[in-house]
Amino acid sequence: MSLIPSALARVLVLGVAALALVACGDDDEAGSAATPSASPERVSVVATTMQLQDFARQVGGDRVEVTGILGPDNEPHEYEPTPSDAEALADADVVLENGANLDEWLDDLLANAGSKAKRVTAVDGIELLPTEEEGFPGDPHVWHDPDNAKRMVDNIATGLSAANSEGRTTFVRNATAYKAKLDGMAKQIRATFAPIPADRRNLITTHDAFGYFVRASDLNQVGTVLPSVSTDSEPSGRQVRELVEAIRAQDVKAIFTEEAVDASLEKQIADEAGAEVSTSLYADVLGEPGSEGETYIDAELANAKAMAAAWAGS
Amino acid sequence: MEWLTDPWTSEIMRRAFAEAIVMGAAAGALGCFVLLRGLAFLGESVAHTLILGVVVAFLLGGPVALGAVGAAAATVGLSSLLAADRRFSVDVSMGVLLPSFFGLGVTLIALTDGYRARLEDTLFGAILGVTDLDLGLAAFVALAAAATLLLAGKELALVAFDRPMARAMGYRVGLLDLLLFALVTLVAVVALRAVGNVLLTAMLLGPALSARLLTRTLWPMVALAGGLGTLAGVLGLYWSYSSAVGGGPAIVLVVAMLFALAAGGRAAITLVR
Repeated sequence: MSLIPSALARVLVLGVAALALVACGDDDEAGSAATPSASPERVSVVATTMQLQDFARQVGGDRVEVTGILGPDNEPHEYEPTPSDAEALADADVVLENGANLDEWLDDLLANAGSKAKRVTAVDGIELLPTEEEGFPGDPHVWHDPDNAKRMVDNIATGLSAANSEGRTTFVRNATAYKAKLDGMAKQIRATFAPIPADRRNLITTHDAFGYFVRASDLNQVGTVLPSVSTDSEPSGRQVRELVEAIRAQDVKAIFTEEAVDASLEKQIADEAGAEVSTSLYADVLGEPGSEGETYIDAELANAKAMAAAWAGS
Repeated sequence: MEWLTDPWTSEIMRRAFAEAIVMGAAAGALGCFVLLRGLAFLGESVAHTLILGVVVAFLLGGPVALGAVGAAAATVGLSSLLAADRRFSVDVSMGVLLPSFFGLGVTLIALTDGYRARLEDTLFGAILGVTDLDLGLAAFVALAAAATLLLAGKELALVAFDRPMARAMGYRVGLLDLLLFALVTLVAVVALRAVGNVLLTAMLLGPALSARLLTRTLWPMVALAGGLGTLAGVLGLYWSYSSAVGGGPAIVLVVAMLFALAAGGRAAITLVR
């Protein structure tokens, strides 16, 4: 008797089980769920990051139909575009990108999709913080500074107006209203940090995504667990040692992780240095719908609150 | 001498050293049998099939090491089932399993929105983040490997050198094969954490190759390979501790340097004679 049939059957069972898993995982594909609008008068906008999707909805209001590429579970630095992204781009009037090499995968995607859309780069006119990272013109995580966010909103309003001149007054009005909200957010963040003494505002994150936040809120970035602005590198023994020494020297309370993925390195470092691993910050993405980081403003406020809570404790 | 003792004052480094020493010794010693049996492909295949376990563990929210052990068990079980049919060799069964498991793993990654970042940990290891579970697993694997070599080393050697003879002498060759696969797979699970999927084969075969060049008989070769694996683990971590090179890549680079030294030494000896 050959054993092959039963072995094959097992492989098949495994395969079916895997497919079932796949089907479950695919259901809540938040970012790209919305289909481009059929109504001709609305401007069809495709936006890469979740922050840009939020800004575009705020500025465009009813006049735009926003399709997002990245969802709460997509790392912008490592995103692998899907065919449905190309489809959305092919039909888009306006494409919103962050720029500064954060969403550089858009270049190939746009070329392949044969898109005629107007391309708007949100970081245009924003002075980038320097970074040592190869291939980055500067730190791309500009939105963590409220002033930069306002500039991004202006860029979006200008871009949308160029694509749809009848909407100009609406876009400008919406942008102005939203920028007032951003001012309110900045004020709230300042108030959140006000009671924290300067020598306690010591931030350690998984990757270097909070340079602008640190500058805007007068924090001290002690270090990062992964030695780069992107999320894909392994720290060396020396880098880990230097981080541990810095945590001890400056009496840092918390290491902030950005993802719920295996944070064993953060735990080891925290254990050794006598710090805690603290709740997730919204670094590159926003939260799921219904979470406390659902919108850009919510996410930034949640970040400030999480940091202040970790630093306020004795 | 501070540079010598300094790394050992750090708990993270002590854990990494423990993992590297155990993994280096076990991978080096077992690698000799993999090399002699001409099963280099086995290590590579096992490394790739483990990806599936890692992804499934992530999906289910369990520890990565357990997922890898599960995938390892599935690999060994299925391959021995396939290889039990005389028409299929181990190479063939692995040739079927590797693309199936690896492809399934990669497909799951692509379709799982939550699996972002940290895939590099699987590809290149994350020895500075080893958990208690990882260390326990490494210790268990090392003990299992040592016990097997002590109790069944002679039989494994016979099967490696002269398969028909072993069969004629009444040894259960298939069972001994399965034992070797199981051990190699377990070592692969440990090495996955230490040096990662891509560099794992180097850890298994590098020390064994170097030892093969410098020894004439099996047991000195096994001992030397285990020693070289350990040496590479320790030196690699010292290097990583004083540079910007990640732990896993540093260890594997030391393995390669040791091999270059061994090959050079061998060539020099031949020339002198």
